[in-house]
Amino acid sequence: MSSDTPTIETTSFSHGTLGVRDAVATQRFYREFLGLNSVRKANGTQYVWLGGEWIIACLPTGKAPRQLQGVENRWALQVATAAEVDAAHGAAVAQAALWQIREITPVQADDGGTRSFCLQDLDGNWWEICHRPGHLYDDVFERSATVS
Amino acid sequence: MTLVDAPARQGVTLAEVTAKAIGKAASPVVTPVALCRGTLVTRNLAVTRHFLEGLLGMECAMLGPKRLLARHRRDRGSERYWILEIREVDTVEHPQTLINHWGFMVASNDEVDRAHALAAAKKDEFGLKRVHPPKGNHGSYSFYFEDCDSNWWEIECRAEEISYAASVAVGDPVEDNRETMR
Repeated sequence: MSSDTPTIETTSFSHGTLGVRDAVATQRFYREFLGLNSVRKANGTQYVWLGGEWIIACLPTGKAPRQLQGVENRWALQVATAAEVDAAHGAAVAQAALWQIREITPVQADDGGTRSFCLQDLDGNWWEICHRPGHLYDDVFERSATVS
Repeated sequence: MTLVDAPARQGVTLAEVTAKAIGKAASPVVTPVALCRGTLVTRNLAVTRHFLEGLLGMECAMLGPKRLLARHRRDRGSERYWILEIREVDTVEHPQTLINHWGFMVASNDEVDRAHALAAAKKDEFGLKRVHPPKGNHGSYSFYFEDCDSNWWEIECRAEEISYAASVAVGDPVEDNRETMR
């Protein structure tokens, strides 16, 4: 059960961050392949968002090699249908060289109807394209609240 | 050529910016409906749940064995919310750095200071490795801390003129032509 009086009284869960090596190339991928909203700033920071009041701040890391992210640290994009997951997977495989996609996992499905795959982008960040029946994770939170 | 940012537009929301298709491609390959989730790992889900609920006030729910979901408690009942998915693992293969952190807003700079004092005082209870001092940066005031699994978190207050929505509402940077105009 969630705490009624948390130690820190935050007003919102506002953002996450990731590292980007080439803001222009990455922005093209985010906008034209992933379908995200993206705006760059003059200082090299790029902001990415879609469908809510939260945002990803993409921070310039320079061209020097750095540790790539593992798939366990990823960002998930919800698509409207399971068929769109398969279509996105096909497009990622076909256009991997164009977008400098490093790795693409096979499409997976679970018993609950969730269908998804992951890809690692040009900067080494991982993205999940997924479809889950129902509205977001309302059912999970409602079930949890009932149990509590 | 020098690129500069147009003046930020105060008082806007990301929903308003999104409705104007700012920063959006006309026909992308993938057409998602939402950026809905971020993921991270922990070696002990119970410790992380205590941290998320007790320190940050997140609402948590088990998604399955060794999988926990968390959302901001003010997002309860919302049409749109952002979710953290936390998976329990034996080993953290890719410890995170400050470049990859999760951010929460508070209402004022005083709240940042208050949060910092509380996080430092309860460092052991919540298994925090490091709590950095608050710093100001061009209208933003925040501090970072690292949890027991090398995930990084930020508590921040941003002035309205540099809110994230205000920052993106003006679009990409523009060319500074002042020298050529002289």
